[in-house]
Amino acid sequence: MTYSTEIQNVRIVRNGHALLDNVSAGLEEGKCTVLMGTSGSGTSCFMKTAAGIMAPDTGRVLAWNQDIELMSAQQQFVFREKMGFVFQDAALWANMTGFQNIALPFQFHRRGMPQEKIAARIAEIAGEFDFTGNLDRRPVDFSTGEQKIISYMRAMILEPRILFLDDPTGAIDNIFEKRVLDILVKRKDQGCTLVVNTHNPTYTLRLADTIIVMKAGKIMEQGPASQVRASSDPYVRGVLSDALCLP
Amino acid sequence: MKFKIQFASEIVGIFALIAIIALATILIMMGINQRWFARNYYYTSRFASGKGLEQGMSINFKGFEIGRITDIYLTDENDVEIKFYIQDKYQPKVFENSVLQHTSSALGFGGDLIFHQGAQQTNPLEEFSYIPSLDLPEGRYLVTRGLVKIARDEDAITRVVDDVEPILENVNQLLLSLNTTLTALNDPGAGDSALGDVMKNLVRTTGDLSAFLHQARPGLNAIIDNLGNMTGDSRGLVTKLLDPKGSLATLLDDNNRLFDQIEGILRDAAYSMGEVRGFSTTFTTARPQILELLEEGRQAVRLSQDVLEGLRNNPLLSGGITPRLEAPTTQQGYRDEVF
Amino acid sequence: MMAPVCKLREFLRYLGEASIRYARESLYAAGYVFEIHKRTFRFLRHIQPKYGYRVFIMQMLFTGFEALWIIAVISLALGALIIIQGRSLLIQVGQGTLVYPILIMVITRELGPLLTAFVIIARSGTAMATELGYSVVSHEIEAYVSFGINPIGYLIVPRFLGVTVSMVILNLYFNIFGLLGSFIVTQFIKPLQMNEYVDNLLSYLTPADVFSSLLKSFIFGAIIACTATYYGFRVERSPTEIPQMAIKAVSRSFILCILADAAITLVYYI
Repeated sequence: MTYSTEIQNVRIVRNGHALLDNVSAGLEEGKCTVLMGTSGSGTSCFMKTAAGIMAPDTGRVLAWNQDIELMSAQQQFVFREKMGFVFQDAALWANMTGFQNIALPFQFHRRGMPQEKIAARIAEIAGEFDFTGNLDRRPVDFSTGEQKIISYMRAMILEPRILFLDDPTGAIDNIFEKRVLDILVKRKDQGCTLVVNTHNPTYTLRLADTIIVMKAGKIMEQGPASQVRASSDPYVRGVLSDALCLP
Repeated sequence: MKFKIQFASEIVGIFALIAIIALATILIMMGINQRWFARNYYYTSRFASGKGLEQGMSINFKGFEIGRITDIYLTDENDVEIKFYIQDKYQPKVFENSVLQHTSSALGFGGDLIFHQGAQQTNPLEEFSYIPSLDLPEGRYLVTRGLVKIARDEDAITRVVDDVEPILENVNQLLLSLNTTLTALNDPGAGDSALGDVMKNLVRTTGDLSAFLHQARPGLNAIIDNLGNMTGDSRGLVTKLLDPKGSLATLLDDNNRLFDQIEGILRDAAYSMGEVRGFSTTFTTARPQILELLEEGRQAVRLSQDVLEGLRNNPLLSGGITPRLEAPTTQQGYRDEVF
Repeated sequence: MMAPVCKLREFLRYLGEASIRYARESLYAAGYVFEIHKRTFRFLRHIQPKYGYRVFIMQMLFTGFEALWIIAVISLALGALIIIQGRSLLIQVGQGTLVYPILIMVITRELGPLLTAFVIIARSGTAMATELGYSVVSHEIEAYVSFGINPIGYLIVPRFLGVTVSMVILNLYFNIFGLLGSFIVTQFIKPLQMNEYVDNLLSYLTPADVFSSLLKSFIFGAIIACTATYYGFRVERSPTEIPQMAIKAVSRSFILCILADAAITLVYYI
């Protein structure tokens, strides 16, 4: 079994409160791992740690068998190019236009690329999402849903090999939700590893290969989707909701 | 897009460029004004003391800054040697026999280093030459010989001080000589010519003092008259002393008349010095140095009186020096003042 | 007997914990400043128009150009006041030319850099701390990290350079307005000869004055940028932390600038 990312015995404590408590898990290459848990259970923290955005107090995080913290600047640069992250609240850069938000990672990782090619690539990805709005506006001028779509485009512009999606359906309408799901399935089929933090049953059913259920910073259950869905643990069954639980 | 945002680079460029140009202009103007690139000619001089001298102190000639001190150090002979430069445009004015004079300025604001040109126009002195100062005998010798053009200072107080200093110095020297001479008179082997010189000096000194006081303050006529009388007396005395018969015998065999006469002169001199000192008191709040100099003169006169009295009361002749009731001095240090 | 011993132990524990906390914080701040400088050299070595350069230009526009009028007003007023008051007072004691060294001491060496720093702290220090604090709260910083864009290299270094360069340039303008512009103001109140004024001023102004002024403004700029961005990044989660950190950024910047001013002046006179 090949892991894109693997976290080993990770513990993160902030203000005396354990956000992650001795967590170990592997995110399988080319598969989709769905994280589930009640609010404050540590799923977002898990994702950020696995993506190397949040540093663990103890334990280590490996990306393609390399410890992220021990990577050189060049290795970090390559790793980041292969990774995309969609934040729960979009986290667009407020002082840039939508276009600049999408273009910046591209400009940063494809130095010297002509502006026209960047614009063409952005137009291509906007077409993929069916986004027809004017991108030359600041984030504050977009609706929350539009911001989320721009956040998707920004995360996918570099064609990442691993994509972290924190609450992918939050704030977006049904049409976009379906559109995004189709895109994610397509990416997965192309070999992209997906890590999704969601409670959306449709997404879980269509995407999940592995499910990790968390509670208070600890992993309660993890394994193949069918196995977790068959769990008899009341907390796990409560989190999965009726639509996902197997009899 | 707002104009400022659209043309941000251009605006910032102009903003920075103007500042850089201004800085460069100021530096260039400073360089021209302060002669960064001009040639300086270096010379040395010596002073008795480094007090009041400092690196960077300007050297003035007729009110113009012509150079600056670059280095000050104490020599093995305990003289204070300075290195200084003269600006290229003033270097041709540095004739032979030029001297430096260090004066304390009025009101106690630092001091001045004044350049006095040699009296005769010569080729400029070579760089690294030695230019004497009036602090040391070689400088004063050049002044005595009239080889230096001494420019009169514009400042009234400084002028008074400049005049008082050499006169008091002369009085001091004179009285010391008198003391020495009178002591020598006790020596049977001594001649009479030294005493004659002394009296000549006294004539010259009192004359100088009189001229100075005339110039310094017309209200001091009483003092000047006093000095005139003194001078008149001494002329008679001098004539007598210069007489080939004037000798120790004369001094001892005239029933103390000569002694009385010398003593009278000294008393008058002491009195006059006191009055000069009183006059100077008006300046002394700002210039304690004047009072200090006068005080030195007064003490020298008093000492001479003592010596003369001692001579008269020589155990061989009579009975020693009478104890003197110490009069309080008007010279006070700042620390003695009550604030 | 036990109560005082317990209180003493408590006090000692508090003291020890506070010392460790301050030491740790100081080390962290020192590391932060070191990182800024390291990345600044890297930025200057590989400066490219697309990255950071725009942030640098915008920072200079906001910090430098937009503060120019405030600096002009302050320095003109200050310079004119010194000339008018100083001259009338000093002429009475026959030392009218002393106004020039006083003008240079106040405008160039002491108050020029310090007042410019205060203006920049009030305008840009607060703005930077608030902006960065907001960026932390809205996860913008994490977004930069997720794309491998170093927040210090991309966000802080251009701001650091922008503030530092702006500070030096604004200080130059402060001097220009304070030394020359105030002359023009004085003409309306108590006329002076232009050539006399400029000649005297230039004869008293030394390269050391200019260098000291530039050095101070450079150091103050660096202090303001480092302090403001440091406290901006100290915001962790809540938007209510943003004004608290902005206030800390301002007060610490003031204190550090004054301490640095005293230190540089001491070195200058030693």
